[in-house]
Amino acid sequence: MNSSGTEPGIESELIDLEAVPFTALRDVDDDDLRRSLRHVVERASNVRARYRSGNVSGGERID
Amino acid sequence: MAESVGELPVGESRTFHRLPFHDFDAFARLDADAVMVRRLRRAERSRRKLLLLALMEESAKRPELFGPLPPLDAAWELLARVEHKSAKSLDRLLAHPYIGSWAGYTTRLLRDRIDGVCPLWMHLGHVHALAAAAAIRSGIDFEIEVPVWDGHAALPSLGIARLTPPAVFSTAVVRGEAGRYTVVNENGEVRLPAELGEDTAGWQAVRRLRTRVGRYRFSVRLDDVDPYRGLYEPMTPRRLPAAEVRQWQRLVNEACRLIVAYAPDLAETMPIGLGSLVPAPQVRYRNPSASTSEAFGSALVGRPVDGVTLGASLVHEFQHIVLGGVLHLTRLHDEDSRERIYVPWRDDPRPLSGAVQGLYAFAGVTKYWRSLVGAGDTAVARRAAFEFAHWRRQTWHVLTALRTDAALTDDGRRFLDGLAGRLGPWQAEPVPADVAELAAAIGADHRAGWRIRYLRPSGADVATLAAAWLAGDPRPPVSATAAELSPTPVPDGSWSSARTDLIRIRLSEPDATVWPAVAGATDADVAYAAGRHQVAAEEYRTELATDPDRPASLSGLGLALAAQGPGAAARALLYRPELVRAVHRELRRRTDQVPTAERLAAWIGQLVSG
Repeated sequence: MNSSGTEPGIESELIDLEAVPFTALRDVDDDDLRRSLRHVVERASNVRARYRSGNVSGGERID
Repeated sequence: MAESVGELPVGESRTFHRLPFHDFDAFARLDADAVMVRRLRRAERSRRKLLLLALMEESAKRPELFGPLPPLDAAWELLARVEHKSAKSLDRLLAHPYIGSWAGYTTRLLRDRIDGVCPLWMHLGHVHALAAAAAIRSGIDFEIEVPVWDGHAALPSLGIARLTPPAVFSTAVVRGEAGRYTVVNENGEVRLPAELGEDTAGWQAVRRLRTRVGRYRFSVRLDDVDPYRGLYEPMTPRRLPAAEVRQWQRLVNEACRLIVAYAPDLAETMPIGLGSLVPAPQVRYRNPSASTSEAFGSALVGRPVDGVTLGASLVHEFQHIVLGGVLHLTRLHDEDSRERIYVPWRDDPRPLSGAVQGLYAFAGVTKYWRSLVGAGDTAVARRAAFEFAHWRRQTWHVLTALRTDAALTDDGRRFLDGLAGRLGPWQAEPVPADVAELAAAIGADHRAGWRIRYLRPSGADVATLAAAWLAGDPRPPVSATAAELSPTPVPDGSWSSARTDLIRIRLSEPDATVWPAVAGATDADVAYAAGRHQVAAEEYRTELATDPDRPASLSGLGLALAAQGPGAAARALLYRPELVRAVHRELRRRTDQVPTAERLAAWIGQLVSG
């Protein structure tokens, strides 16, 4: 699931920060990072309780 | 493009998370291994870093948003010191599920500049608490001010310190020095224990349930204190009594034993994707559970009655979590919020997104029950056969409907094709005949109940049918019985799951003569569940004489008749009950010579195929 693979697959909009210390990001000005950041913020902004159940009979899921 | 500072890869070496089709197809086929789930978790950490960065950058522009707490620089500086000492300390904390739900919730508040359950500064200030928890994990000396909600100072992943607060929303100072930690406000001080997993005066730790089965060691948090552990909004701690914790431990022990014995692939993968449980109250004959894509690794679970049931709930939520991780990397369908799809696990129509989520969760549950069919315990095996027979059929129906949905993306079609490759061969596997009949009955019952409540035949068709009946036509007009209907958002009539509950009880206690009280169950339901189908049919007729519109009585009569042999009335009541009720209503409006619903159903049923 990282970008090192060359086999066919799905390229996500999520930049891989596994090897990047979080606090190092504070000083980064990078187009790809900004685009990925906007992507996750937009997705998080759209999360809503779409599957809220009106009863207790089953599961609930929020995405 | 500006050169980056720090260690972010630059230029051509910059990387994005990818999902190889090898992994994607394995997730679709329910064949994912531990490495694949670990990769999802790794992508989730990147996502949280981005969300946290966005939150900190946006809020840093407005220091006043932090209220009485120190400016954001205090948290940045402490986090930098933590990473300097031990980058893993922060990484591990970022993997904590409720950092994800906090970040998502607060992102939405910050976007709208509104308060949440607490004032905005309290939610933003949780980043100070995150820094404090990371500092404790890394063992450095530090001091930072954190928010306190109703006397609870939360240190995510560790526990809460309980203080006497000066106000509902206040602050306290967390201090670490030479491995000793305190939380202090103007009214007192809490000293954290040397072993942070233990409770002491003023300190409630996040509990862990540990169990060992063969070579497997399981450890799951039972988190009743984290403020962001809920589905929708933050909530204050609800500490479980020790006796309930012991019950949870017993249930987890039992579930883990079963999973290792019969579903060992899950023993490898599930602990990676599901490490925290939020305990919820027990609901009899129900197994409520819930999760959110923002809290990868966590699920709310109502305390079940046994480990077999807990295992099913864990698998269900693990499936949701996995699919949530996949959906952070790709889209399976276009946005379509119309609530239009029948699913047998809910009593209301679902949007495509919810139907796909439920399908994947119950496909995993189907696999779980299938694995238990061979359990040595015959009661467990029989129950598993029933649930397997039920869920394989129901998931297959939903999958068949979804595979041709126009809103699916190419990836979505590929994913459902992969799932079909797994579920398809299971449809023909043998199960005991009586179990298969009961499974088919509860499936038919649910579908009929849903149709009665959510489908509305057109007024013209109903009028045509009523006129034909009143004219004495021997058969109903074909044109009026063939329409495909879309569900309405408002149900017409009440829902009862009593019959299904009773059938499951009968399955676990086939010789029972005393039936436990099941909410909403009627004498007719009890007779049906006990296999006394003629009596049940009579009782349902009596119910319908009093209330001819009652959905559970109409479908109950259909079930009781079908159990005695095939017939037109049973077909109409189970497959077109909405039409039977609508025409019956119309006849009641038009004439005093109203037939019974059963007689009308037998007439309509001439054109209904089962």
